[in-house]
Amino acid sequence: MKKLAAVSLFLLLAVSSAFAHAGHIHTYMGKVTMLHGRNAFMMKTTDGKDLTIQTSQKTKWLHSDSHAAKQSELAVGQRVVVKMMADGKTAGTVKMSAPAKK
Amino acid sequence: MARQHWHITGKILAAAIVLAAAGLIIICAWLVHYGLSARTRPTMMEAVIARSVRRLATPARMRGARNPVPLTAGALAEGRAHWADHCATCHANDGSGNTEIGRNLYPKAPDMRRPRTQELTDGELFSIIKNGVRLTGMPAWGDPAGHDDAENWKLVHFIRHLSKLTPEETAEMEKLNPKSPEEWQQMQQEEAFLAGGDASSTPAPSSTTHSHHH
Repeated sequence: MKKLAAVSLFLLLAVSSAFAHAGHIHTYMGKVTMLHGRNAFMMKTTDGKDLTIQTSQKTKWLHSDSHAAKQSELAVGQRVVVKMMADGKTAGTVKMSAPAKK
Repeated sequence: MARQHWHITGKILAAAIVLAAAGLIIICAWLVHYGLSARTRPTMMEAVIARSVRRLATPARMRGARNPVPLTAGALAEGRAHWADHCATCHANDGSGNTEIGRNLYPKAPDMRRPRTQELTDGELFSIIKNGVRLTGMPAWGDPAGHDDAENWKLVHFIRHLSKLTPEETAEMEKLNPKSPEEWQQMQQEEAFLAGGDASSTPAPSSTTHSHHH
């Protein structure tokens, strides 16, 4: 009986954790550290991780006030908030701060 | 003569019963094999029947109705805000239906930018919003007494505008989408960070967050 209860609990937890993660989208905040042509850039997140963000033609580029921006406006040192697409591989939206002061 | 007639009738009846039984067995076997999961796509026959019934179920006077609300920037903005708050959870801000709920409904929420939706008349769109569609995830949103008809007609204007959404409009809608307290906190945190605030001084979630896609 205890075994059955333990297995049931395990299955319940496994199923609920699977559902809990379904459909989540990742958001990254940080500063741009390097630009890699038109399809990628690197950023350092606020907790110190280095990430390479892939972009595509479907990626939307926005200023912090939500007005449309151009990818070419992205510069090293700029603050960005990146929301990945549902597939978790490509950036869906990149919101950028005003250009970093030199 | 009468006896021969009854003989033929009996044969036809027997054949009909056998065919019905065979059909029932096939349907049962199909259900046992595939189950009743909402993950599958409706068969072509289901889709054709559903669309035909939906069209027939729209009263003729409604089908021909034209949008009585003038198309103005204000009406479109109100329709957009209404959509973001009430419809986007299933249909997505851009009308693609690409949300967690929209993707997993049966039938799936349609891509409303496509001709199959855009070719519906204003009246048909209004009727669907107001009265819903049976056996789908689309509820009847409208007040039967018609107190909110104007709001629903503004939504019709917005549906016509879906394929022309600008990034600014989408971003504005994202602010209006229903959010949990955590999502509100996250949005404020992102805005503060982009404005030059210190992310490390703000409470969790920090640099990497997850949120439900509505």
